[in-house]
Amino acid sequence: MKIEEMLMKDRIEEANPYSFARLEAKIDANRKQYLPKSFGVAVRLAFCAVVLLLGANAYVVFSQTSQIRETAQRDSSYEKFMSDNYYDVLANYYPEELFFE
Amino acid sequence: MVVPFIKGNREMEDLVVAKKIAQGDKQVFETFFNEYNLKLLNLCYGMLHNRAEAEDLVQEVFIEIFNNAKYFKGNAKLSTWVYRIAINKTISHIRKKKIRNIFIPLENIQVSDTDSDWNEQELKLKYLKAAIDSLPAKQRTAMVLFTYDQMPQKDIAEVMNCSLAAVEVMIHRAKKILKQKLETKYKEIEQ
Repeated sequence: MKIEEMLMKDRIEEANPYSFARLEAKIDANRKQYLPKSFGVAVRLAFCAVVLLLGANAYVVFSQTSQIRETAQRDSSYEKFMSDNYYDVLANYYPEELFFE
Repeated sequence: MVVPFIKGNREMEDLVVAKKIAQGDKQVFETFFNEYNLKLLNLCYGMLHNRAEAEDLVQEVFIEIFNNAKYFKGNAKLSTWVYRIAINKTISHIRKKKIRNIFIPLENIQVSDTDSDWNEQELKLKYLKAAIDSLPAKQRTAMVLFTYDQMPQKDIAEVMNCSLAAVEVMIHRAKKILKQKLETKYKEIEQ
């Protein structure tokens, strides 16, 4: 038997009589669960925005923290130096002659 | 007064049908469904070789047609548009489920004890289906449309968006490959 003949014999001759009813039920079910396409787009955009904001926030927080840490370190060392050497520092500004005047 | 481009009778009919489907006209949709259901079922069955799966896929195709009928512009025949949707859906279904891997390649099919219960024709058909599955997607589509759907080669060319000569070549090559692959297997069965 030829290939074409064999395949033609394998063809479906009759469709399921309930298939249209099944299709209608599926379409109705889909309608009930229908969400507009724009909703999907909006969700994706919102997700992108959240990711971007998170990234920006993390960047700002880290850059600020390092700046603050640097400033804090600078300030505390300066303060320590000043408290330890306050009079010496002042003394540098006043020539000794002034005390003996 | 400038007369706008008037579409042909068939094109107008197609547009009206698509418009009515988009509007949810149940009667038109049912008529349309009855016209294409068996054709699409044979197309999907020819590609998948599984009736239940083919029926589910045809339902999905009709849902897609129902949802997208409003986008049909009449640039191609409605039947062409419908077949293109069905073919794309079937091919993506095959890709998604990797049916190619699930199907047993022809080389691995051996005549087992249980196969001896099958009659010769059934066994030959089983090998033939496995051989069809191993064809490249385009040849397979053309072959299925030609045999299962009994579609004229001119219409196949329109559906597959290629020339008539290309379809002739595709079908010729597909038959040649199938014959080559099946020759030894058929001899085994006949022995």
